[in-house]
Amino acid sequence: MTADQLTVAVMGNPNAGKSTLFNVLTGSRQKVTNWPGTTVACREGQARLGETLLRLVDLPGTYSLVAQSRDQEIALEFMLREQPNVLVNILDAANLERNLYLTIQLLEIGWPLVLVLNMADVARRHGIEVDIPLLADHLCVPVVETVAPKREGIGELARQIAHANLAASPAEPDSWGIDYGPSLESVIAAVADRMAGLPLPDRATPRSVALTMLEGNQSRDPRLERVPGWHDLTDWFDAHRGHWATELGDDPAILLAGRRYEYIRELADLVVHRPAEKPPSASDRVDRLAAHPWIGLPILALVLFATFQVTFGLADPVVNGLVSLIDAVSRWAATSLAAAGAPDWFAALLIHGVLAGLGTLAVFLPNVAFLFLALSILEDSGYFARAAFVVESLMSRVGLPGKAFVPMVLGFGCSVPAILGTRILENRNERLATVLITPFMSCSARFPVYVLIASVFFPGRVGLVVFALYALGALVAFGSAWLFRHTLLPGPTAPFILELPGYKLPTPLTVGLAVWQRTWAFFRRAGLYIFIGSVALWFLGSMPWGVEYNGADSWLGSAARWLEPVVRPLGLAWKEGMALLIGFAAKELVLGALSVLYAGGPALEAGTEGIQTAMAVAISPAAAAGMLVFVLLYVPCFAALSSIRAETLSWRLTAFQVAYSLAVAWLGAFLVYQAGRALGFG
Amino acid sequence: MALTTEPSQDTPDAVIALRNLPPGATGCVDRLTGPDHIRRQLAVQGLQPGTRLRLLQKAGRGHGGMVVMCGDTHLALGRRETDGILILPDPTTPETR
Repeated sequence: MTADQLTVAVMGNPNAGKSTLFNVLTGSRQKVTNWPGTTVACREGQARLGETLLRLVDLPGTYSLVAQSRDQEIALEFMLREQPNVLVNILDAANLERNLYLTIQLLEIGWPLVLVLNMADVARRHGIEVDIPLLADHLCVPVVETVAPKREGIGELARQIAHANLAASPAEPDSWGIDYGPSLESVIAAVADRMAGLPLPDRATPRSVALTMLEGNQSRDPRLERVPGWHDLTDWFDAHRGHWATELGDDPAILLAGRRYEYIRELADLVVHRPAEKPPSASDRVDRLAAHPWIGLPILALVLFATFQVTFGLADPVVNGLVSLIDAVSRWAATSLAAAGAPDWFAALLIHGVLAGLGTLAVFLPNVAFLFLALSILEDSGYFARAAFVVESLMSRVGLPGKAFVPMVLGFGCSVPAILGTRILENRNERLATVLITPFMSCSARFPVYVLIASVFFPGRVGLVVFALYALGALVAFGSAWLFRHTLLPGPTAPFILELPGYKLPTPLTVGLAVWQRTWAFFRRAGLYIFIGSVALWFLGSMPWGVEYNGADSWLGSAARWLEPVVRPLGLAWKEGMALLIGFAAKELVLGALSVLYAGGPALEAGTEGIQTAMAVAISPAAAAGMLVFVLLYVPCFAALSSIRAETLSWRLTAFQVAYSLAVAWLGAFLVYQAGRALGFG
Repeated sequence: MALTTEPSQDTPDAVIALRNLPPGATGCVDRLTGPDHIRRQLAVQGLQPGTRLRLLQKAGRGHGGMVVMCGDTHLALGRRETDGILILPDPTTPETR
């Protein structure tokens, strides 16, 4: 950090308009990195303020300093370690009382703080006026009013950040503080006194640390762990906690929260002017249907159906264009390389390895980008919170929280972002269970395989077959969740307490940046694996050098023939087994592999017609149905596996997911094949 | 209503479980019962003795989740979370079921 650079942490409740303000402040000068030593994403950006460069860090939205989810925990610990120069706390002006709870906690830790009263225009439309000078006066901190999308108040905010950094600490213990009453204050004092003489880290005071401990904060300052005598203090604290609860008549954490809200209500009575009776808002009227216990579910189904229709409808022409382009480049490369007398192995590597890998990515990327666009719009509009509520009761029956529904839906697009999306879940075992079951949600890469095989064996019923596969995937996901939560990953479900924010029109800047950042993250992670997987498969299919590409004598062919006894009970032979083996890298490679195996030509040159004719001869309808089930249920791709490893931090669970999904896929395919045979389709 | 740090030990006759409040009705939280970790989260969200709320949605005749409005906040709560919330309904509240 240079002398002229200030680190500013941006904090606030979820839905307070934090992202919009962060985007307005930093524009395109932002990047997504991981919090040091973790895979939890962290947004950082830069803004210039006169001669000073601001390094802004966007912390995950939180209602309090007691972290509820893994990403909040890591971010809060990082904040305490990193010691930003200034904290900027974004408040939703239309929902001030609730937002002030976090503010009170930030004031109590005593760091340089600037309050931002955001969405003041929305508040005014609801007839809510906030007396800003009076609020600033009572809390002894600067308060700036902003309307982020219109950039109103941004200049003043920049000035106040610089000013807050120069001021020693605006929240001096003498100038502001809550009196918690004699009983609570005596407990706070007892804990604080116990810290007398301990060399506490910078900015930590005995009172602030005592308050943090009493509210049961798991993510307390990691620097405290290194303070000599700290563990003796925590042992003493743990031994007394029960006694204080009995003495005070309730858990100290609950009593602290109660007193803070009492203070906030008194403050709000002074500074917030609102109409006596609030008429139902447009959000309330929409919620009568969207959050309705019965009508909400079909609405959700419709929204999801429309999302996928629009997503794939928009992505399709882009995919076709890219595939045609890569196809043309491949043909041109083949001709040019032959004319130039390039070695065969080099031409094969370039066309079947590199360009085929790019072709696979071309199918993937537009679908994923458009899906992220649709989901970012839904997320930013506030609808996902309603969706989580309407599915809560269904999800809780299999031991998952309503919020797990969001990553599961993402799984219909691509397992990789879906697995990353489980970070919003609070409880560890619920999160791990969701990570393990998400790959059963049929991703977009499996779709072309279904269509091809179904159109050969079940003409006229392709739609029904594909729908049945999606439904079966979801069913297996739910069944597995129930199984995992009752065996491998037991434990109580996290409390379901979710704010339903008012609906709002998503801002193009926020949605655009979210789509770009998520797609880029996907490309970096999945793209690399798909590409490496394609090249590796080309290598295995070409060696030993000189054999027919992907033929029975290639290394890959030998492996498939060796594994044939495993797929024979499913009515499949080594060729289909090999296509499934190749599908480990990525599902869309299955089609390419089938085209090579059946039609004998390179993936990009063989049309689907050739595969269809050959396949119809090679296997029975019962075996084809079993193969579809196998493709649905087994490991989605290398990229998904690497995401599972990164999110679970466990090779054991990753290996378990591979073994479990293979076992379920084999069993499912076996049952379907045998049932089909019994019905005369064998 | 002023918030008390000591929860009342006796439950007045008029106090009912939140799940028995009909949609649209208003009331005041009398006390929270149940596990500490749930009560702590409810308290941080502003749901505690003395909080006024309106029940907006109720799933499955009280066997599922609920949406309540307290202050300017709409909160969706799961079944377990609403189980421990005891309410003193407003006198104007329609007949409870």
